[in-house]
Amino acid sequence: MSSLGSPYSGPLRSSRRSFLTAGVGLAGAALLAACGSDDSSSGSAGAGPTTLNFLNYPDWIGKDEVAKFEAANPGMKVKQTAIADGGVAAISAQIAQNKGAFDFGLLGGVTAARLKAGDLLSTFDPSTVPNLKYIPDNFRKMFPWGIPTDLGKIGLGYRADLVPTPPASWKELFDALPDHSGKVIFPDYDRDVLGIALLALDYSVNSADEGELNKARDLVITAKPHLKAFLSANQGSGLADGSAVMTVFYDYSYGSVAGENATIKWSAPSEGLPAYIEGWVPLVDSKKLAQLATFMDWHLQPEVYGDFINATFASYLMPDAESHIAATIKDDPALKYDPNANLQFEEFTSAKGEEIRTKIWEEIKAA
Amino acid sequence: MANLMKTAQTKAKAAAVRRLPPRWGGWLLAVPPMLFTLLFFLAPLVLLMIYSFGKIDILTFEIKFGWNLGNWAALGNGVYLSGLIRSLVLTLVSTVLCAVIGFPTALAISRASGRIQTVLLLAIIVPYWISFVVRNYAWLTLLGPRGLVTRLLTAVHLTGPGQDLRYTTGAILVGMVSSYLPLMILPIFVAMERIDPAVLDAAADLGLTALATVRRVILPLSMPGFIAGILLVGIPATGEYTIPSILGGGKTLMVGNIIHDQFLGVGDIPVGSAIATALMGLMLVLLLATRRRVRQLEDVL
Repeated sequence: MSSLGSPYSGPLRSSRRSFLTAGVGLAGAALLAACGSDDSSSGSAGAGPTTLNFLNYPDWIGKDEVAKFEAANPGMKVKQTAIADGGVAAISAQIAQNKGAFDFGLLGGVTAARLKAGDLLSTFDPSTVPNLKYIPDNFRKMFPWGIPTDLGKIGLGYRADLVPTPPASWKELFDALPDHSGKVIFPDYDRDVLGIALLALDYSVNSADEGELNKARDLVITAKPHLKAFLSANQGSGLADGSAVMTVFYDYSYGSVAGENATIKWSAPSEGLPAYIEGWVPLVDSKKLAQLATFMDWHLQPEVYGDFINATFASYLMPDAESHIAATIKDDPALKYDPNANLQFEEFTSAKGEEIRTKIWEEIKAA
Repeated sequence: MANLMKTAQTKAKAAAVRRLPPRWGGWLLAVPPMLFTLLFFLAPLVLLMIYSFGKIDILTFEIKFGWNLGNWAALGNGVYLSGLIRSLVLTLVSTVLCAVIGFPTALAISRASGRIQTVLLLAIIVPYWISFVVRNYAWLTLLGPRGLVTRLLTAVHLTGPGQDLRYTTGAILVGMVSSYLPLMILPIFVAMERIDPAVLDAAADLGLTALATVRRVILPLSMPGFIAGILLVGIPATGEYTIPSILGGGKTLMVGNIIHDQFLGVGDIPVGSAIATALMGLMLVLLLATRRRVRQLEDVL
């Protein structure tokens, strides 16, 4: 029928065809763009730069470490992406949902063990990282999934001028919350909040018992109305500006605010400090393990490692790097490694345990 | 006669041709946008529904598709219900506040003269050009213990000195009202602009006071604008995620935060999909229930 054509049908059809072609072309291009990955950064050896995709906490690296590494290793680039907030489940989900997008990540022991159980890690070969020798054996054994980089502890920070007698235990902290209502900050991290609640109740920090975890949940939910906030970062800023009098936070957070105000103090509750070793771990489907080993080895040079500690205020694991670490960090009781400290290392227990903890954390947040 | 018939046939054919191409051509023209809508709007919604019946392996995060009603049954869980109820209450309060603030503002703008009206409209629109996230982070500073708002409230003895107004339900409401207010003011303003000045003159001639004119003439005639504003504010506010995340301090979760946590925090896409689908269904029911009123929007939107 269209062959009958009106005087205008030819040009019109042609224009519609062009329009359709362009439309389909655009839709195709959009589809390809939507489905495509960031090929420019994936690189492969011998064909342009090799980019190592690093899932990291923002700025959790030496100030010029990446730039110096790239300068010393032409053809290698490091691209950092911010790791998810919220805890073990959130980080695990981020990695699982983006399989192959990241070559390695900064992971705590619990997250690494959980990912290993889900087959979401690449096998780490310690022999490819000679500088691993600088890390003491005990830490290497505690963190077999990659290179251990630092030790984290969860303690209590307080303003000595506003809380002359700080709680001596986690239990005392929970009991004292009504007296400091709206002036206490907790971290927005599932494992750590449940950890201090379990310790306050005299249970193991790694409990997988549903009854014990439910009691810990109830304790946190009771405490919630008295909390100022659950913050995923800058938990110490409230202490610095006086809007908070106590905060449950990390040793490195303390390190970063202690210099701002001499009245900010660190306290280690008597039940012990939830603690973790974290490090760089190769992730599943990474095709750049050799290049990653080079970067890992670079990171574990004592001088580079010292810069990393100076930039992050993390508790260090490498005694050989002490000469490169700022005295304010080395001499700080919160940051210096003390083998006699009562550290309760967080561990992965079981899938069932993780499932219960995830559910409980949801309940705490939504309560 | 034969020529006449030939001419008539030719004309009839030409007329048929003129009628046919638009029918087919119209369809062909509609194909790209239809494909786009199908691929990027309907297909994701269908996928969301399919996912809502799946089940996730907590270690591998792999989803097994099937007919798992557990995710839908979980919606009855107090955790999700409390988030939904909290969202609906906060949405209701913020929409009412937007309407209460928006109506006099729109009235003032509509009564202003040409240049002043333009300036006032710009004052409403320009802040909207700044990123939503940035504006809410700005509130974090303003509501802090040394923030301008806190100091102002302290000066008029509404809060104690150095009080921190951040991380509260009130802070979330402030964020929601300030973020969505332009979406209430503008449709009401448009509706008011369409009121025939002769109607207002008639009201004055009949002896109505200014207040009575607002109540009995302007308010009813602005209703389409109100309804548009309520929909524009209420629908996105119900699924709000950013504002409670920034200003709530992780303590006050709305249903948007719960959906976010399921997708990205826990990685449980099936449960997240079930909650998202249920929320969408609820919104759809509310829209259908008000569809007669929605027809009035055609002039305003």
